[in-house]
Amino acid sequence: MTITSLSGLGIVALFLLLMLLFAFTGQKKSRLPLRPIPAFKRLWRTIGLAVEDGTRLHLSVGRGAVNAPESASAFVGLRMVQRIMRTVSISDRHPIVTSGDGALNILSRDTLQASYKAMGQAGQYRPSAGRLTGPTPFSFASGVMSVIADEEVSANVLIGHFGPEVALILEAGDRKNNLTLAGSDHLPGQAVLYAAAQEPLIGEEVYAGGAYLQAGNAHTASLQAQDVLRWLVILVILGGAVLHFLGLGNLIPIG
Amino acid sequence: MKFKAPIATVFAIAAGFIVLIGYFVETPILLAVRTALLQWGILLAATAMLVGIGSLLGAHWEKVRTGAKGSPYSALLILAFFGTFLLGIYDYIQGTWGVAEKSWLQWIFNYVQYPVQTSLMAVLAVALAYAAIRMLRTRPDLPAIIFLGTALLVLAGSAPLMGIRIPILSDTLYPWITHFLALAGARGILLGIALGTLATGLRVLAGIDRPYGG
Repeated sequence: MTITSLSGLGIVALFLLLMLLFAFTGQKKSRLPLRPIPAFKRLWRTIGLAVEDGTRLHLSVGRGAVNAPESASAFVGLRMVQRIMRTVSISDRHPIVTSGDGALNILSRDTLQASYKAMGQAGQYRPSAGRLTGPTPFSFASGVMSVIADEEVSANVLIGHFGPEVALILEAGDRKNNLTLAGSDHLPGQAVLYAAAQEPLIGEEVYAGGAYLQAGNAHTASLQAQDVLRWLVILVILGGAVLHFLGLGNLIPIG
Repeated sequence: MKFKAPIATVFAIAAGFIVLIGYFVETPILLAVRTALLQWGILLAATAMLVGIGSLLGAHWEKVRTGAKGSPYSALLILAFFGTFLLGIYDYIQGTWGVAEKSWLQWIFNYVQYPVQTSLMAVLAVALAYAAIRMLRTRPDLPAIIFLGTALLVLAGSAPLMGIRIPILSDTLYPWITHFLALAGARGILLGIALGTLATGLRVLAGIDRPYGG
């Protein structure tokens, strides 16, 4: 086992320990408040309005493959679908979940079905509510555009892997005066979201969805562990820079 | 049926842990199991794409059947799908008999898909320019101005008009922005994304998030 793989395993183990620690301490005493992210606050308001108006919510989990690292953001999107479904179950028009990958499509349909079942409304589930809109970036985007245009959608929640083609989706939403909350793990996609989305989620904010939508104690714990580890990474980077500056760079075992 | 979800969870967690540990501990057995699991994953993902395409066709057929808004486009999509599928089979048969003169699938890619995607790319450029202008109108704050100013500087520095390189911009400012500012910022965001991915992965591994089996 090399030092690099050992340190990798150490980081994973430390993260797991921190998550467990925060999960246990969080159950006993009141938590530190989460940093306010306006996008999530506005999302709740919009969901409420959509339910009152009888309009539809459109949720998209992107086009990341499940056997690649970008699946993580899609899983966050699926968790948000599960959480949002609990709130919109009383709406006349049921949400639509779009994706650009076959396996993600199956998972989104499974999530929808399980959500309806958990709410005791198994009969409300329609397989067509979980749609693969296209297997390539632009076919996915144009498929989502037609969903926004034709299905009386009032708000879009896009959480997953989206490239620059997301600008076309946002443009379609804007033309329909929809609110769009969007987050991607793709760097150029994030730049586009910053410019074009009404409520963009930047960097690791994408992964905080579960904690902000009160999906459970474990989500808040993992967010806190993420914060602690981020500060550790910052300290390690600064320490490494100082050591290099002092000509002691060879003291760093990884490289 | 009652045990479906727990069994799926146990399998998913076990497979996840084997693949994760296999990245750090390199033993022949772990490597063999990890490789087999990853290959199964790739095969299942490819099969899932077929199921997804079935779902796509199903959704569009439903629109055609009920005469919903945009149903002519849905009919066109179904026709195009089956047309391409039949041409693919025709290509395959020609290839098997060794009488293939030209590939119709390649023709469709070159003369239909490629031009359509290029046009969408052009529309994307316009959509982005429009989004940038709209951002200044809806969010006229300092970060938005810095964002747009930097985008314009990089654009002018990397693709100068009429081939004329602007002295300080092209030689000093543009490389400085892309090699230092943008790279440092991108690495910072990527570190955040890596930590977020780790957090999500561990939640899935621990069975807290279960995107499978409900």
